[in-house]
Amino acid sequence: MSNSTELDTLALKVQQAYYADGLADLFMGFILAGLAALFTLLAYNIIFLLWLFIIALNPLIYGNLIERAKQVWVYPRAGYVKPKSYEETNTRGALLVLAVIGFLLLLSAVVSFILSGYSGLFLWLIWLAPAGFGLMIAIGPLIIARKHHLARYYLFALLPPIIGAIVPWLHFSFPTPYAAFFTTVAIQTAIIGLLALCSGTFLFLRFLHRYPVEPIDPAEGENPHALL
Amino acid sequence: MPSSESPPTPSLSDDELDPLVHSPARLKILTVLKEVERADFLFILRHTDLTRGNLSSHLSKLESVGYVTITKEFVEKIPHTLIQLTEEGKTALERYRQQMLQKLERIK
Repeated sequence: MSNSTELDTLALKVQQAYYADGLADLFMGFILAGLAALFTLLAYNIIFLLWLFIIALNPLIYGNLIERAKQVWVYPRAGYVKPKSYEETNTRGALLVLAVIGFLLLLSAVVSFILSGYSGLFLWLIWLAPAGFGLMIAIGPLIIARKHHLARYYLFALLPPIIGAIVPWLHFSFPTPYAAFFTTVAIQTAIIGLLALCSGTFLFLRFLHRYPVEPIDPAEGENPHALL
Repeated sequence: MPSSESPPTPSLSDDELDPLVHSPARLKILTVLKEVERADFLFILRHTDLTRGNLSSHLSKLESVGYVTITKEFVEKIPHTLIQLTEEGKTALERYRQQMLQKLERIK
């Protein structure tokens, strides 16, 4: 009988398989690094709206793009897999946490404004908002990390709130509190984006090396994906 | 791989290990399928390190007792041989797991 440890290892490997090729990291990295670069070039508020839009639609946009990339690069080499869907309870739980964090963030902004007017709001923008936003964008990577047991996604989840908490203490000088907030978001986005690009590149190259394109088996008549 | 009607799953006593599950190769196949919604032949091949012929044979056996379903489908216009664990397969695997845990407990 197969050793139970071997089976556990096999089960873990299968759970991680969908992300093993690095394509999800690459796409995430390109999008985040691109957004971070745009922050430095264009008006903060426009880019921030674009950032919110892209982050919110992330699963939809790059889910389809990744699937197409997998058709070309992954399925001919390692086969097709459809991972188990996220359980409804997990999705509802995540949305609930997101709503609670968002609510607390807004509440703290309102309280700051009530207590100290615009100066309170500006302090909120510099000291609280970046870490709060970091917590909100941590939810997506955290769900992936827990479902697929991926250590690097725990890192992607932890870094935004940590960066959001640390940057204000570095006392960079910003022309306005809004600039402080947007710059911190840009730094969060840039760091996660660059890390994801590095991990994605490494994983993708390793994947290509490990899994050559499977030749067509005449008996089976399969692998019509062998496009490359 | 032949697709066939599923004959009834053999009835087993509580203590008797299911011979269809109690095989290193089929245990690996079922373990892989348990972790996904469905996968194609190549994916299972890559993760079980079996030969094509071996895998094909084991899948046929599992399909014949209704533990897996094998279908040919198009995914984005490309044909795949897709394998999915059935409810019977999940039950059989879980029953096997419980039996093995009980046996280990008795040894302790």
